[in-house]
Amino acid sequence: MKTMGHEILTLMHKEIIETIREFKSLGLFIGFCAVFFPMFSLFGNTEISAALIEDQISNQRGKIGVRGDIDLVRDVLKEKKELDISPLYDIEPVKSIEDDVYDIVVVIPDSKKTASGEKPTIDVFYDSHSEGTISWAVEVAAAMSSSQMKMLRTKLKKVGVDSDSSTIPKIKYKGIPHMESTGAAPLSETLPTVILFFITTVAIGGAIGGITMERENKRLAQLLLLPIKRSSILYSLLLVVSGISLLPVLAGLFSLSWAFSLDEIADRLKMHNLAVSVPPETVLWILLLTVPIAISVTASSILFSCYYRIAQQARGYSLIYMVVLNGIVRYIITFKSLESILLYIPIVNSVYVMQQALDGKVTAFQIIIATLITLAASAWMIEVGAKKLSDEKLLVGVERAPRFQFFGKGALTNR
Amino acid sequence: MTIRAEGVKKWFYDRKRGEFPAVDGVSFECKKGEVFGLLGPNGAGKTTTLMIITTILKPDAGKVEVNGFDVATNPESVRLNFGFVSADAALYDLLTPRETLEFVGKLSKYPKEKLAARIDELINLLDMSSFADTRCQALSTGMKQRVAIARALVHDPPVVIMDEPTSGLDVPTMQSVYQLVRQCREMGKCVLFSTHIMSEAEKLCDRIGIINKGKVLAMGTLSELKEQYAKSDLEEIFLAVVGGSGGNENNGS
Repeated sequence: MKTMGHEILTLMHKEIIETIREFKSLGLFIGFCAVFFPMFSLFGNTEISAALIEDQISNQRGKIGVRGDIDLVRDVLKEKKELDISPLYDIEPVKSIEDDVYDIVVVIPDSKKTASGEKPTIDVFYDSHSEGTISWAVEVAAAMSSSQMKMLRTKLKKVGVDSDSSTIPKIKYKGIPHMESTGAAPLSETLPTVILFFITTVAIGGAIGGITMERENKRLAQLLLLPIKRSSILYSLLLVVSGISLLPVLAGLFSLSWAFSLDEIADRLKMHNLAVSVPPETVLWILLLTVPIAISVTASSILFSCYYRIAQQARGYSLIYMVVLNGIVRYIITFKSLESILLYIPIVNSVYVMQQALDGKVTAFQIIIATLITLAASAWMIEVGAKKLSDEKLLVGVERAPRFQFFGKGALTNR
Repeated sequence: MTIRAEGVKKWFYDRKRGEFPAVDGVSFECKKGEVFGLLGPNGAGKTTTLMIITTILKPDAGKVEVNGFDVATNPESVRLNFGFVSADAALYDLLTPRETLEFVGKLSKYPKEKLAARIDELINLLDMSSFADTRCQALSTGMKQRVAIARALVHDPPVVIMDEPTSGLDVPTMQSVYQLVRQCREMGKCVLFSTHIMSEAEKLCDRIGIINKGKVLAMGTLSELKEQYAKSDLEEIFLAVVGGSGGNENNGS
């Protein structure tokens, strides 16, 4: 194991040096992503979307249910004439929204609970697929979290919630994602597939460069003469290429967060009719799930490359491979009947988990299960690919007789 | 015995011809401190034989041992015991010769504390100081071949296998390769040298095996072969052995 670790590190070191010295094409792609993400946010049809939202707000009255200090909420939202504020009584917040009793439910913290030392939170429940409701939820939360915060703090202190004046209650969005979608496309349906596309593009390029081209240039044969495990070669490539495939996505996200604040990003997603069920800071954490996506997609790309001898041929088929892989993953995820087993289907599961996490429906256990299955499947693909590295036909172009041959000259050959 | 091949067979397949033998019962031995030449026309089966010895191809029949390790049952130990030089240097263009040697040395399990000194030693031995830190993509064919030889020797293997290493080289570089082969012999290494150039085999090899159509047709020292075939030079012996037919269509070069 130690020897294999040493082999992988040495091979990775070489791969990284080569990547750094040949950075032009990758650099261009990273640059494209770094510009694409903020540009996508900038040039959205903001006027139309804003007008739509305005229209929805002005033509309908929002029903706000409040549990806790209703006077406090009325005070904070006194400017919002379009909102009807009523007490929640004994109905569960989620059920009251599902039954259309309220559009939004605000739960103000209880003084008894916070006395135990928990940080007080104001929970804002809303239907994460309803555009108008999201707008109201954002309005409610924004009103509470910014200009009215000082007043809120004073009031909370009076009722004994806030013993320390420096403690600011945190606004917690609680989207209800499983309600029927009535308008905007959820971010969960868009982001994982965009990420899948970018990662596949880089992964397939890296895999062809690292396997098929090396085989064509006879450098792979030289490498196979060394006393190393075949799988070490592929594991090192897997780690480097999946790391590299993350770079464009990371560059895009970095430039996006540099260009806009989290609130602005949330607003702009809304303007693009992208509904977000979880707060923007959670979206950033969820993007860590890009790592298992990158690993599984890269492993499958490496396996694909192991089956080709000529780089030109592999490049030709790679487009089909990319379209098929992306298509299959996206298609399988849409099957409601497969929901119970999606966690167990490699590559699909990592994209599915990200989708579910963006909808606020996934548990830590499910993330761990899906990640472990993804890693195990990736390791299996690497082992299969490693066996293919020594394939005589692929390596030196020689053919062996078919196992079963009934016609032709080879049929009666007897060794 | 450092290389021992016994009745090695390898079959290839062609849709037109069906199955045919690329190597057909090749047997030979190469001892410590000896340069054994494998001489044959193009397509004779030399490279296929070397690929079997270097574990790239698996033999269909027969047995090959390198420094006591069987290529079929213990390929990883076999790979620790040889260095391989071919006509195609196949270097990493973006690495320098020094980085290439360091990379191969580390993967060949050469002691870490001695590796830097070993690399410097090879750089001096092969006169590579002037381009040791230049990227391989900028090197000439001769320079690249010197790097390939250094790469084969970096882990100080007891067996050195060379497959037409002087192909495409100019005369001074060829001379330095010959010099190095002699040095390897002096160091007690077993050198298996495959070539189709008669003068090269005459100058370098202690014993010669002439191979054609996958079979070893003659084997011995130069004087033994001269005596056996009653010819004055290797070229005449070679023509007498292979029957003046030159290359064959085995594709098992």
